[in-house]
Amino acid sequence: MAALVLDRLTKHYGDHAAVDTLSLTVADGEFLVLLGPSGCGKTTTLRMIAGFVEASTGQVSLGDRDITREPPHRRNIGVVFQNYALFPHLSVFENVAFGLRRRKRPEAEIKTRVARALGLVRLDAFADRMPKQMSGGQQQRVAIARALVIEPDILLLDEPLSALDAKLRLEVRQELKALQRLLGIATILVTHDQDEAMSLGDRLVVMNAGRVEQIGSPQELYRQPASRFVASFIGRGNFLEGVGAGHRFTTRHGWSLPTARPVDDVATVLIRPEAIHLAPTADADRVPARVALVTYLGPMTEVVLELAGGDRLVAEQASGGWLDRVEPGQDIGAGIPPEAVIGLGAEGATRT
Amino acid sequence: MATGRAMAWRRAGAMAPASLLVLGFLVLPMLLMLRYSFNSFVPGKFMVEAVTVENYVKLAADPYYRHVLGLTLTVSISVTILTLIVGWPVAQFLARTQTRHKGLLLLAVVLPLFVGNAVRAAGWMVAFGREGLVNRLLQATGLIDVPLQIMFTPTAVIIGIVSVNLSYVVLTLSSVIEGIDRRAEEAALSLGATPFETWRLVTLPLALPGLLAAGVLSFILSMNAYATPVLLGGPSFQMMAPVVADQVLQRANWPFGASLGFVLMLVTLGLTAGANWLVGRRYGR
Ligand SMILES: Nc1ncnc2c1ncn2[C@@H]1O[C@H](COP(=O)(O)OP(=O)(O)O)[C@@H](O)[C@H]1O
Ligand SMILES: [Mg+2]
Repeated sequence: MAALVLDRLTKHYGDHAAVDTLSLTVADGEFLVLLGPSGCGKTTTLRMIAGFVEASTGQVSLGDRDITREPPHRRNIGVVFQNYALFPHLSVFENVAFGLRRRKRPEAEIKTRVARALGLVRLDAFADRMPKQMSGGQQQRVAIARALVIEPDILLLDEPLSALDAKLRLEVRQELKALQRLLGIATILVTHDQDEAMSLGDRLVVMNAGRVEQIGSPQELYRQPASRFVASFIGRGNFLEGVGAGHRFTTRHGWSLPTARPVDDVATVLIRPEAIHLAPTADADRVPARVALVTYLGPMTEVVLELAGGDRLVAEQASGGWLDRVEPGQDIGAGIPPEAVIGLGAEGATRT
Repeated sequence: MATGRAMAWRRAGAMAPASLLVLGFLVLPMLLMLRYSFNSFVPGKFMVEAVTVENYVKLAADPYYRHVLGLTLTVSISVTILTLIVGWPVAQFLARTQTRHKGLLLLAVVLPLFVGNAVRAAGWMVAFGREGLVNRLLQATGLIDVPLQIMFTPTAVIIGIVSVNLSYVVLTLSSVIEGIDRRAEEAALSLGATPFETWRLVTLPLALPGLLAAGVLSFILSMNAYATPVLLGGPSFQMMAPVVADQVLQRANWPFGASLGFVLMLVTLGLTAGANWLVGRRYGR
């Protein structure tokens, strides 16, 4: 059975819809990531699930319970906030014990469960500390332990890593992933960071202006984005505009490319930079291209290309060999396999 | 080290003018009063230069002054508790409301302060009279048959002082409540705390320093209240500030007035420090 189901969930603020008929399902033990730009309604969605704001319309079900009108303290949902939101006047132990005490568990049980939860986040030795005596990363791990110890039906995390510095962020991210796997707890994490989303999520939900733009595995979203919005939000890409017909796409500048799938009615195609194969010279499989800019990125080299007709492409290829000596102004060849040309639906087509 | 010390000096230098002002306007008059309180009072000759503790002895020995001090404390503690209880919901509403008219609401809280204490007390006198608004209302709603005696009772004085202090308490509390992280309250709710438990276990402890500050403010203001007890309490209701004024203005007994004033200040300071210590100990701050 699904751990959580959102059915046409909507939140209006005045006549503005912060979240608009959003439907999705979280499977048992699944790690779902809500991804989207700032202001697209991620936090509002999470807060409706937790019960901090009331849904305007739609339904939230947890297992077989309809919790849409249930107050937050009766939902049994673990919440982790961006700013940790620990209780500053309570020790780490009491912070983690808080939920168990509300559930009137016996003292001995509280002791063992808090110790186990702190062990999970490797903070066994910190039980007696006050929150402000700890680093940001440690505080966020306490917050995670505090949310997990009550064995919630689902764990919600709202940009939990964005207040941490870059190095710590990677560390806590990996821990979070391992912990979620270990406990097998259904989880929704909100982020605007695509790397975070790709590395954590079993499935990603890309949101735009209060609506779901696309739902899928990281691979699906990367390889088959449904819209230009998804394609530009996940990874980087070259977007070429023009007209598609059958297995051919012709750009505005008149460049005609073969495609693996039919592209009838397609007005925009996506080509990922790393899908372009560069060679020192043009040949039957490679169109002539002039190098406009070269950027050495270590393992990869990024090359901006200008095609004869006026199309511009960004290509990325493993550094080394001839590529290390390439210079702006040089003419090289660029091969674009038909399966690398991905037709995109019209803007917002998937949203209706 | 050297730069730290240089900075400390520079900061001290910058603070010097303000410090001198405080010294001149606050500390000097107080020292003067302290000196007066050790002088001697001779009827007909007024204040006579001396170093004696006779004023303090008289104060301690006379049960009348103990009664006045006791009454002042009772009224002040009642007022403080009442202002905190009545002020909290208003302050919480002000701090948490999403309305665009917050400025107007704040103004409404401050507005009563535009009316001086004496004028306000006069207003209460009209309302509290046997034929006043309060009695009329109570009779109209059928709660009482015979008009209540409100004027010249402790109730009148307490209501009067509460109405003055409430503005200060609401302003202090609402700024403190505004500073409380709502996410911490939401975290408590998500962990299974009822709204009341959340308030008791998270909001209240986090607001405690502000509650203390507001309480101290209200307490000090009532300990030193003058116009309200005089006008609403009447001649037989004696609180400290009017008694001090009476000694100085009516009897021209500066030494005794000064010693009364000092005892009032010390008791106020002592209780304030005590409350501070209690709260600090309870919450390890
Ligand atoms: N309490 C509120 N009152 C009015 N508008 C709000 C409120 N909360 C959020 N919004 C609006 O709803 C939209 C979505 O906000 P939010 O869910 O916080 O986005 P995200 O978390 O994706 O950045 C934004 O346009 C925001 O301005
Ligand atoms: Mg947000």
